[in-house]
This record gives sequence, C-alpha cells and structure tokens, in this order.
Amino acid sequence: MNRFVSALDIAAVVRSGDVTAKTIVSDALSRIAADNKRINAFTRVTEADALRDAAAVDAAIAAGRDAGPLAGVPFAVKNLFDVQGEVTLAGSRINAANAAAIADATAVRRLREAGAVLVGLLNMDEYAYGFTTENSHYGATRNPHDLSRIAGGSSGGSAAAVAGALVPLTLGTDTNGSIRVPSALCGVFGLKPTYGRLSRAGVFPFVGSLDHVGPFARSTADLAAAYDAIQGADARDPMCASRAMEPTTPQLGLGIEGLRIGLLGGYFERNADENAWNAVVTVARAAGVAREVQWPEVERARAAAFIITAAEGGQLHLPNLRAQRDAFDPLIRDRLTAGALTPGAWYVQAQRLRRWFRDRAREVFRDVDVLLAPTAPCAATSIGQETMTLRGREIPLRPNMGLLTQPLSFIGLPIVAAPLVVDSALPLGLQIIAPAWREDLCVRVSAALQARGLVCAKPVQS
Amino acid sequence: MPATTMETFDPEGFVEAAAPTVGLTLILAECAAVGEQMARIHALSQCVMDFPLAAEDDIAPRFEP
Repeated sequence: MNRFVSALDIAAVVRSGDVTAKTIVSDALSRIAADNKRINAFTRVTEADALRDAAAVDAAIAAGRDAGPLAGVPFAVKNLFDVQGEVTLAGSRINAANAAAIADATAVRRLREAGAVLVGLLNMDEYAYGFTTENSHYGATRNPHDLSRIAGGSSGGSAAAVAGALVPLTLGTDTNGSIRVPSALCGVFGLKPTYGRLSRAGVFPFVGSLDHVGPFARSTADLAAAYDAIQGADARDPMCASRAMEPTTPQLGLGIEGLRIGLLGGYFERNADENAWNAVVTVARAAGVAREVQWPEVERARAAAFIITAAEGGQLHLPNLRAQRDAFDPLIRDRLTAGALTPGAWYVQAQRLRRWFRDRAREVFRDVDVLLAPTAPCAATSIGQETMTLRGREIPLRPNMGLLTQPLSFIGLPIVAAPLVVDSALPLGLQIIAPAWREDLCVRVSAALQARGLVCAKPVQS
Repeated sequence: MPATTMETFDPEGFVEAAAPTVGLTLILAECAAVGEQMARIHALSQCVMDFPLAAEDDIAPRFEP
C-alpha cells in the first residue's frame, strides 16, 4: 500500500479482510528499518510483539469478531508512555535502569483495544523538558523535510515518525507545546486536548499542573479517530475528568458556516516571524476570518507557565539531582536545578495568575467560538542552533520555541495544531483553539480547512 | 539573601545560598551555570509578581480549565 495511506483507510481494508494486519504491520516495520537510521524517531522497535498483535487482529477478523475501529493500524508512542514489558525511558539514561512497566498506560491500552498495533517507542527531549528533541543520550531526531533541522519537541519522535510516514498514528505529550511545536515543524496534525480530558495514567510526569497527552496524525479524520478511541474517564489519573464520551468524528463534515472565528493578534503576531505570521493570516483570510482578537496579559501568562514548569519539574527530579546529577542531559540539568530552587512565592503567584487568565479567556470566548494563531515562532531551525532572530531580536532558541503555545496550555484549552499549506520547503503550523471541553470545534474547523485545501500534512520529498 | 530586584539580583549568589536548603551540593562552576537559568526565571517572575491580583483569585483546590 501507499506509505501515506491514512489510518482509517488501513482499518477499512483490514476490517474488510482485503489486506491482513500482518501485511500492514510488516510493511511499517520495513519502513522503520529502512528510514529510521536517517530520522532517528524510534528508540525501540517492538517487532516481535507487533507481529503477534497483528496476527491476533487477523484471527479476530477471521473469526467474525469486531477488530475495532483502528484494526491493524500501526502506531508508536513517545517513550514516556508505559508499555507492558518495556522500560519507560522518558528520554533519560537514569530511567533506563528502571524495571519494565507492568501494564500499559491507559492511552496505549485504549488504542490497542481499538485494534491498533503498537510497533515501537519514540525519541523525545529528556524528561520532556525541551522543544527540539536534541537528546544527548539517544541522539537528535531529524526533521524528515530537512535532515539537518530539528523535528521540534519534546514529542519530536512522535511527529517525525508520522511526517516520515513510518506510521500513520503516534501519541505524545504536551506540557507547554510539546505536541503542537513538533506538529508545526514536521508538517503534521496534532491534538492537545483540554487539561483533564485524557488520562495520563502510566505516563511519566513532567509538570502535573500542565501535562496533557494527545495524538499525531496526517489527517484531521485520523486525528479525531485516535482521540475518540482514547477518550473516557479513568480513576487511575486523579486529574482525568469524569465526563461522558464526546466523540469528535461526527463533527468532521459540518463545515465552518455559522462559527465565529477570530485571529489572535498582538502578542501572537509580535512573537512569530513574518513567514509564520503571514501564512496564518493568508489562511484566515481564505477562510473568511475578518476579526482580529486581542487577548490581555499573554506575556504574563507565558511567564507564569515558565515558572510553574521550572518549579514542578525541578521538584520532581530533585532526588536524582542530588544523587546522580551528572547522569542528566546537560541541556536540561541546570534548568531543572534552577527550577528546584524557585521561591514558593513565585510559584504560588503564577498559579493564582492561571485562574485569572482562565477567566479572561472565558470572556474572550463569549464573542468568538474558535481562535486561530501561529503554532511555532518560525520554521524548523538547524540542529545545534542556539539562538533565533525574531522580528529583529536575537533570543535563545530552546526556551522560546514555545512562546506561542505556552500561554494556551497554561489554562488547558483544547487545540488542534494543523499544518499550513505553504510554498516554502519547510512546514509552518496553525493553532485552532477552542473553549475548554470543545475539542469538537477544533476538529470541525481543522476538517473544514483541510477540505478547502488550506491545511494538509506536508508530503516528504524523498 | 540577595534582594530580588532586577538591578541587584545576583543569580549565582542566590543559587549558592539556596542549593544547600534543598540538599544540593554544587561546585562554583555549577552555581554559575545554574545561575544563568535562575536569572531567566527571575526575570520572568518579575512580571508575575508585579501583577495585582484580587484576594479572591486564590488557588483553587483543583484547577478547572
């Protein structure tokens, strides 16, 4: 089959019996064997287990049983998701000494229950603290559109594996932009749901106040199908909301007529380079979006998210910072240490600001249903690059790739990161932002823009 | 402890003084490297700390988005 075939098309041919899951999974394993050397998206390929699971899908179909909506779809997960029998690295050397996980993370289990077949684990920034996936232990993940450039992070392996068509679906996590930034830089779709929507049980934490899990895919429909498969309350994650399933797949064909859509300006324009901003404006105009929305105090919100991240991340790793400081990736060791020393007054004030900013967001959403904004400040930068120039300012690259994503995840809003159709060689991204618990609106707008040819996963030029 | 204004904040000195309070032992070179990161957090903290919040904007027991 065409390597760019969608997850839903795979499931359709597997469910119909036209192609076996074993054939599909074997093809994916062959692509990974051939291409992962260049991209370095995978840190572990679970070949034997994948072939066993594919055979089980085929057996279910042969027996007339329902093999699930994602039957036979190969998928992979960022290596901070627990996978039974595998060590959860979280991008670190320290965790490599841990025992193997005794059970799957809830999100992994639910994708398997939907018939998808796990084929491996994916590279990331150590402990998810970064936006570039330049991992000192496991190497940098390379952007499939230009191997000299970053894939973004921290879920860089998850985005690159989908962009490079190694697999059609992956899972990642997003604390400050770690699904959305790599989606933008690699030219694929990503969904960061509402804070508390998807279970984080069995996912190695980074910042409990801000951590989310979500899927990557090459189309809105695949993204929605994966998201719908992993929805649902879960007592194993105390922050997971007890909400009924709210499937988004039925929203795919509704279009954007009747929706009030605004373009986020101000801070979001100032902190995007001309290419990233103009690409979003072009799409907004083509979609008939005329209203520009100003959001108050975004800079403070971003600062508060930075402080909460530093403080909680530093506190989480304090025992290992004391005992085996040199085992940390040098790119994050000093940041974590500084975070562990952050005064409590700064942290508490940042948390208070979070509620204030959430209330302002609710006011903004009285006048609009959906907001658009750029995802990353610029296209993928070179591996090893230390600074970037933004509107004439030279700023450190690694802490600032999340300038446009961080203020939004700060208050847990649902966002689809969609790849813009652009003439440039490197992808650029669009954030489609909705009020809390309205992932359906993000999916609906993304599908409508995709139908109009305004967003689309950027094909890799091989 | 150093004062926490932009003009006088000494991030390296802050790190050197604060590290033992959480059980961290850092050599001087490490204090300097961590101090660079602390300077960034401190700079961002100023616009958070300066922002006037009403008393009722307190931390919720559980953040609801």
